Amino acid sequence: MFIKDKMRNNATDRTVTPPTKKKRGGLGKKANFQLWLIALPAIIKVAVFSYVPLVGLVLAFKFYQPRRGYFGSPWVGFANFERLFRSQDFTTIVTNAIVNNILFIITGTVIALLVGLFMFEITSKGFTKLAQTIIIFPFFVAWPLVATLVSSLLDDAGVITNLVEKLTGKRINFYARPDLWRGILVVLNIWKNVGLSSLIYYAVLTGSDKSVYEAAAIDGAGRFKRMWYLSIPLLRLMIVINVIMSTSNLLRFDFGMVYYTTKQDPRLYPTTDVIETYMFRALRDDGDYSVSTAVGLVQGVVGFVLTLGTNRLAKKISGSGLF
Amino acid sequence: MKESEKKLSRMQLGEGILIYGVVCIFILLALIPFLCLISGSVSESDRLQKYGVALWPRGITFDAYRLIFMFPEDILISYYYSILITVIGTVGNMILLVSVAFALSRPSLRGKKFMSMFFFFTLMFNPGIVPTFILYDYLGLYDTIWALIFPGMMSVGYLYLLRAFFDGLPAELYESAHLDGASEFIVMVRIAIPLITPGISTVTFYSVLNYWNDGYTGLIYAQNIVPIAIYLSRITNYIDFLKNGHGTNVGGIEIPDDTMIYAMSIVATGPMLAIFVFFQKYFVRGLTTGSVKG
Repeated sequence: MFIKDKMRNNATDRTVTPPTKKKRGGLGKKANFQLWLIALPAIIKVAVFSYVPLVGLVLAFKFYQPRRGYFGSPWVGFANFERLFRSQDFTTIVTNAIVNNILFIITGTVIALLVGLFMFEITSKGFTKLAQTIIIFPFFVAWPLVATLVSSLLDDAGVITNLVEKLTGKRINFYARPDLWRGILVVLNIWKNVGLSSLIYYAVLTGSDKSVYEAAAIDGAGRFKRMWYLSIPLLRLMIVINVIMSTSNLLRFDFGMVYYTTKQDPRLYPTTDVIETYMFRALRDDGDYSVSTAVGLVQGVVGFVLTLGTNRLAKKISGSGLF
Repeated sequence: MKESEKKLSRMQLGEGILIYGVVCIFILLALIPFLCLISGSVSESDRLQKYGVALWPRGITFDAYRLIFMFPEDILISYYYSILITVIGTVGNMILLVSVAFALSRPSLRGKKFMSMFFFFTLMFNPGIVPTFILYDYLGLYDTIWALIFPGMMSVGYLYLLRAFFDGLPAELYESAHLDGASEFIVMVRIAIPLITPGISTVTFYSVLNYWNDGYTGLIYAQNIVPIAIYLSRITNYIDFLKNGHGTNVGGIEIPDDTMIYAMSIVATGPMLAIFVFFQKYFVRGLTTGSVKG
């Protein structure tokens, strides 16, 4: 802060003296060239590794034969897409992505909001700090480790498996029960992300004007009244933007979460298999590259449209979008 | 203390129980699995198989750790790859991100809209892994560390966070430097970057976290290069495989299977988790200021 102020002072001191003033709004050819030069390495990197692969999308319109190579394989038009749209797998992976994402958005937002609001009401700063430090911890954990933790709860000798047996007398084999896994993924998502998202809501609240809260307290508003009538309206815009932005990822899913925690058990595919895991299997098992590319293309196009749409919507609501 | 503040800090019993109760539940949820992990890593394996893990160790034995440290080669190699990938990747990522964010933050850069769209497009449209895999295959990058480094480099999502930090700098700052004849590059390195260290440290943290925990890229683009995240899952699968009827006696050594999985998890992920926790305040600070601002 100090340095910044000092520099600002220096700057204003000097701008008074020089007689020559550059035209406003122009950086000059040299500066412009320098800026593009600065960005050049990144442009090259992105061009090679993000734009060149787009050529590979032709595979979605070809019948891929390993012997004839990526580009030598014959064209088949939209046959791959037809095959894809008719397949049961496609319905499953798209439904799972959408349903699970919607569940994540709703539960994730509500729980993070709840924790953020409650944290804000806790007056002991020491306790809040400690609580936040602990709750954010799972965010730093890699999915393979999460999978080990989940397995220690749900496998044959798992804590929850034993507990359920004690309470109901029935043994549940969690890794053979797809119907339970939407719920399990929802819990995992909350567990891993609630720390960070609640923290952001909390930060907005602490940055807000405290006098309103004091006035409300004097008028006799209880804690929950204040949350409902003061805190939530303060956060409303942010919640709306967050929800809108997350819908742009409706078809995308965290590969690591599904792949590791389900132990790649085919019995769980009906509720957990998503586009990422499907494409991965196609690649690993030397399966159908063409159909797999077609799925990727569908996902990409939908993602593109959704991002454009949500960004426009967010811009309309908040007055500023991402770009 | 003012009257109003007193009223604010005083919590009714019911409210207090609910608020503290909910927060405490989340604290326990975050903590208990890791306590069980530690306890499991020193428990006796056959008792783990029967009763599962608990907060308190079931018997005490350090056999699993002893075994890991007796044959540390594989895990050390994985650590070596993970460190190499994370360091090179993060340095590269930060150089690319900061330079583009700086260029985009300069007012009236000609072609700014184009440059912005050029990068943002990659965020909007992702062609899926097959075309990218084909490219890496073509370039001969398959199963090299570069295949694990390049995909995470130039993570466009953080461009906007960094740019918001650059945008927060006053314009006069640059003007004086320009009058002294400094080039844009000098201005960026000498003036702008030192002033946005909170933003840079946050994105650096994110980058390290993403590289270190990446259990995806290594599965796709590599076979023999096994970073630590994937090593952990491989060893777990292997032990499960042995446990399910293949015998856990390998080369004359009885492997304490369940305990081994927990101990391995701790050796493989513990040190870095401690580092993440230690540095988290820098991460959180930049992220909250960035997101509140933007």
